Amino acid sequence: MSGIPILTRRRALWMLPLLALFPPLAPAAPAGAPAPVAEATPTDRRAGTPAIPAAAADKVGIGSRDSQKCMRCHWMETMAYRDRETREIVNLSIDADAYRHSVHQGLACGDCHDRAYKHYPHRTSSADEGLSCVGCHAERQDDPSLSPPKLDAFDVQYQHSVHALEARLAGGGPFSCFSCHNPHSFRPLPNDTPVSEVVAANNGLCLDCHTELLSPVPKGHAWLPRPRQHWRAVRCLDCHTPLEGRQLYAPSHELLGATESNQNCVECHSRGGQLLAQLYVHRAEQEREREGFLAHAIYNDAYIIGMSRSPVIDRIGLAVVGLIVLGVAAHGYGRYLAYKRKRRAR
Amino acid sequence: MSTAATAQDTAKSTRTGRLVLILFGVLLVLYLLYKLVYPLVFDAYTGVTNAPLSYPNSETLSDAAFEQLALELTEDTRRTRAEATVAQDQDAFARELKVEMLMRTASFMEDTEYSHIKYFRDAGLRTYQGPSTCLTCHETMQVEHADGSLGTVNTLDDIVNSVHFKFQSAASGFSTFGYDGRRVNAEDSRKIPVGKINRACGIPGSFSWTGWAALVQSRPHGDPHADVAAVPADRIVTRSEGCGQCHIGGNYHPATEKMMPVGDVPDTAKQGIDCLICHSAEYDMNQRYVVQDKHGRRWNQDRSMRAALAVGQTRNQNCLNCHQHNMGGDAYIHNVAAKSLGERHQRILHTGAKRGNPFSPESDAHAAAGIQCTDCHVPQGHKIPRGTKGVDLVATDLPDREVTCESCHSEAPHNASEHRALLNGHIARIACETCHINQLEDNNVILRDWVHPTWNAEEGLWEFTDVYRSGAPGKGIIYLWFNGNGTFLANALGDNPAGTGDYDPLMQQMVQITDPEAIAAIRAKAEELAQHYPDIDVDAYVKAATRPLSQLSPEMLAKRRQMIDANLKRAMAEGESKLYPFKPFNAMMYEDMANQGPFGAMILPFDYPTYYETGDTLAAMQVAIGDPIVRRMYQEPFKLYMMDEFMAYFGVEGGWKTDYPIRPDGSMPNVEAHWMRQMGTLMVNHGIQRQGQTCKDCHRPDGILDYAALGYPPERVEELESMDIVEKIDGDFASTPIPAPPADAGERSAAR
Repeated sequence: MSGIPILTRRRALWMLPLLALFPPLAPAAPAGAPAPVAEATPTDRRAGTPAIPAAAADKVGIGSRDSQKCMRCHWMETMAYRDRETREIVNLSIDADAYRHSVHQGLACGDCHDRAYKHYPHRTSSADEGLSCVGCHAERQDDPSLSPPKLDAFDVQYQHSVHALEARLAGGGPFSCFSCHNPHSFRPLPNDTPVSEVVAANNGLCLDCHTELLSPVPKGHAWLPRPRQHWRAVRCLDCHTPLEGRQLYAPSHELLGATESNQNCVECHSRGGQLLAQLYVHRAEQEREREGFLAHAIYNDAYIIGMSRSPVIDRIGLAVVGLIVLGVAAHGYGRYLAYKRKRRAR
Repeated sequence: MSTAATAQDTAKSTRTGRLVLILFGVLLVLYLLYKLVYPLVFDAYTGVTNAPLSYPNSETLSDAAFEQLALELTEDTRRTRAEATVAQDQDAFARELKVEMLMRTASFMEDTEYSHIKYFRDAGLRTYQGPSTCLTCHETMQVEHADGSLGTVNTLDDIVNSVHFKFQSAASGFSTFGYDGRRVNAEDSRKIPVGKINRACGIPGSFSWTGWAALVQSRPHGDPHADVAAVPADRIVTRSEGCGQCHIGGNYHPATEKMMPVGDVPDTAKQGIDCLICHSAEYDMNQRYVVQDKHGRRWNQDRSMRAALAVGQTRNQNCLNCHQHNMGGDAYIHNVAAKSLGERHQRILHTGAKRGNPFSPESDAHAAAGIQCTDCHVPQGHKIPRGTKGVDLVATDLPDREVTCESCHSEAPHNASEHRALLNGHIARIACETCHINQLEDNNVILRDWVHPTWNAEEGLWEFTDVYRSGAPGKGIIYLWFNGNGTFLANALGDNPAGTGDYDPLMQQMVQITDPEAIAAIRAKAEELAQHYPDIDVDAYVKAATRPLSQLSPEMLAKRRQMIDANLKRAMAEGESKLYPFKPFNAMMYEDMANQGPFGAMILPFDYPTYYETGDTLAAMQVAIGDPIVRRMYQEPFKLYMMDEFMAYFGVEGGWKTDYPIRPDGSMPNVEAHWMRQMGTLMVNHGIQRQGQTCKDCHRPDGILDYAALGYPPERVEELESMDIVEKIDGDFASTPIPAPPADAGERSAAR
C-alpha cells in the first residue's frame, strides 16, 4: 500500500513527528546523531513541481527520472481520498522538500514501490503491496551505500505495545509503522531542538489519533492535574513506556496501555526523576556546554527543593535567598556600626 | 469676619455654579445644533431629501379580515406542505385523499402554521407599519459570534449599520488594493467610506444617487426619435428603474448620511427599511416599483398584513428576491422575482446578466439539494459574511469570516470517481468553481457600450448596447490566479505559485480579447452599430473594445507598467493563489479625462429617464452630473474629505481635479468616451454543477487554460497540455456517466 492514513488537516504535524521517538539510532548517541539539516530555501518550496530539475545531485532519489514520473501527480498537496472503510482522508501527496530532507532522501520511488505503478491508473493490486520498515531495513543491511539502522529491537518492543496487542485482537483496527511515521518525511529531530518543540512534535503524533484526550477531563487521566499543561510539557511516552530498561537515547516502542503506565508524580517531579531523563538528555548536555559545568550544576532548574520544574518558583526562591543575604549583610553592617560607635564613645 | 467668609464662599459657589450652568448650556446648544441643525445643513449641502414615508398597502385589517387572512395563509401553506409530503405516492386519487387527511391531522396542523399569526393576534396588531411594528417585540436580538459566543444587540442599529442597508464601509477589512499599492482603508491609513454606494461601475452605468429611483416614460412600438412630451398619454407606459430596487432602504436616496463620521440616518429613513423582503415567505415583488410623491421618488415595498403574517426564517427565495438579479440575471428563466415586475410602473428588465451564474434548483447543485444561502453565508445578526476573498470594491460586514467549499466538503471532496485522488489533487491549484461552473448564462454581458444605445422597439426604450455576451469558457469566463485580493477596479490579483514570474494579467488577460469567435461577434455588432452611428470606425471600434490598452498614450502605458511592477506585485504574491473562474467585463462610458490615470479615468454616470427616453447619451450624462451631490464632488470639501484618497487608490496621481466637466459656456473639453483600460473581473461562485469540466477541457494543446500565459515554464506547459493520461481517464468518465439528480428533488426538499 502506498497510502498513509492520516488526516491531511493536520498535515503540518507530519513535518514535525520526525521525532525523538527515533532519536539518533546509533548506539553511541549524540556523536552519531545526524547533524541538523539545513532549512529548505523559499525557492525550493516554491518549486513544488517535479518539472523543475534541481542540480545534478538531485538526479538521485526523488529527482531521478523514474521518480519524476511519479511526482508528476504526487506533488499535488491535496492528492488524497477518503477511505470508504475508515472514513478517514488518506493522503497520497509527497512533499518534495520534506522528502529531500528526510532520511530516505537517497531512495527513488521505485526502490520501495514496485513496478506496478508504472501506468496510471495503477493496478488495484499494487495498492496491496506489503511494505515493511523492519523488513526493508533488514534486507539492506549488507548494502554499504545505504547501511540503514537495524530496527529489530524496535520491532520487538512494538510487538509488546498496546498498539500491536489491540491490533491483534478481534475487531482491532490495523496498525503499522506507517500509522505514526511517514517514511516520506521521516527525519529525527536535531539534538538542539528545544524541549517544547520535541514535546509538541511527539505528542502531536499521539494526539492526532487520540483526539479524545484533548477534552477538559481526558479519559483515563482524571488523576492528572492540569492535563493540557502536561501535554505541553512532557511526552506521552515518558509515562507510557516501561521504566525498566530505558535507554537514554532510544525511547521504547513498547507503548503501554492505561493500567500499565506510570502514574507516580514523583517520578518526574523530583531530582533525578527517571521518567524525564530521556526528554532532557540533550538539553542537559547543551546547557552544560553553554553555561559550563559548574554554572549548570549550581543553576539547575530543580535546585531549590528539587521538586520544582517551574522557573517562576526558581526565581522566587532566588529572590528569597538574595533577600536573606541582604538581610544578613545589613545586620552585619549594623553590628559593625554599633561596634564603631561604642568604641568611639569609649 | 465670618460673614465676609460666608459671602466669599457664597460668591465662590455661585461662580462655580454659573460655570457649570454655562458649560451645560454650551453642551446643550451643541447637542441641539447637532441633532436639529446639522441634519438640515447636511441635506441642504448634499441635496438629498428626507421626509416621513408612507405606504398605501400598509392597511389596517378588521378582526374578521385578520382571521380570514390567517385562515387562508395557514390553509395555503398547509396544503403546499401536505402535497410535498405525499408527492411520492403514485396514484393521483390517493394523493388527493392523503392531502385531505393530513390537512385535518392535529400534529401536522400545529407544524404548519406561521408563528406570527398567533403573535399578531395576541398583541392586537392589525396593521403592519414597517420596522416600528417588528421592533415592538424585536427591539434587541441575540447574535452568535464566530467563536460561538452569544451577544445581544439593538436590532435597528444592527441593520442600519449593516452593509445591506448602508452599502459602504469606512472600516478596514477590504481585500481591495489601490493601484498605488496600498490596501484600501488599511489599519494605518486614513479611512474613507467606500463600497457600492460610491463605486463607479459600468454595469449599472450610474451612481446610487443619480440612479436611485427613476420613472421612465416608455413608448412600446413607438417612434424612437419622438419627443416624449408630444406622445399621447395612452401610448406611454411608465416603468421603474434604479439601484433602490435591490436595496432595503425605502428612502429618497441611499444612506448618504453614513458617509460622514458624524450624524446618522434620520429616524424617518430608518422607518423605511423593508424588513419583510428578507423575512417574509409571502413578500409580493409586485409591490416593488418607484412611486413619486411631493418630496421625490422612492421605491415602494410590500407592507401588507399578508406579508407580515408570513414572517419566518429567511429562505433562499428571500435572498433571491434581489440577488438573482445579479446572479442569474433578470432574463434568467427561473428568476422568480423577475416574474413579478410590479402592479404598476413595472421594473425595467435588464436582459444582460451581471454574473450569469444562477442559484436555483435547476442550475445549481446546492440549491437543488435544498441548501439555504444562510447555511454557507452564516449570518451574525444582520451581518452576513461574503467570505474573505473579494475582487471588487464591495464593503463587507464580516471580513474575517470564511465562506468556503472546504468547510462542508473537506479537503477530499471527490468520492465517487475511480480517479478521486487525482481529482482531489487538483485542489492544490484549482478552485472548485473552476471545474464545477461549466458555463455561465448565454446573456452574460462582457462588453457594454453606453455611448451608442440601441432602440428596443418592444419595450419602447433606448437601451445600452451589449456588444458582446457569452457564458462560454474562454469567452465569457476567463481563468486567473487569485489569492483573494483585488484592485480598486475589480481585477483579480494572484500569481502562479510555481511559475516563471511572467504571469502579468493587467497587461495580458484583462486587456485583450483574443478568441477569434468573440472578435468576430464584436466586429459584427460594431458593423451593426455603425449603420446607426456613422461616426463609428469599425476597425478602430473593435481594436479599442478588444485591446483597451490601445487607448493609452505611450507615456501612460509606461507609467502603467511601472505602477504594476512597483505597487501590485506584493499584493499578487500574497497568500495562496489558485486558479479561479472570472467573468470579465468592460464598458464604454463618458469619462472625465481631467482625472485620468494609467488604469482609467473617472467615469460619468447617466440619468436613466433621459437615457432610456431619448437615447441622447451626452444629455443623459449632463443631467446626471447636474445632481447636487455630483456637483459637490467637484468642490474642495469633498476633494479633501475623500476624493483625493479615492484618486490615489484609482492610480491617478496629483489628487482629484475639481474642474467640473461642464464649463459655464456649456463646453466639455475633458469629456471623452472610452472603454475602461482593462476589463474588470467578477468572481463567480454559484451555478455549481455536479459534473464539472472534463480533463480534456483543460489538458489539451488548445484547452480553456492558457498555461503559458498563466506563467508556467515551457516544460511544464508541455506536460500539462499532453493528453497521454487524460484520454484514458475521460474515457472512464464517459463510460460511467454520473446519474443526474431527479429534476424535482430540489423543490421537494425545499418544501420540506
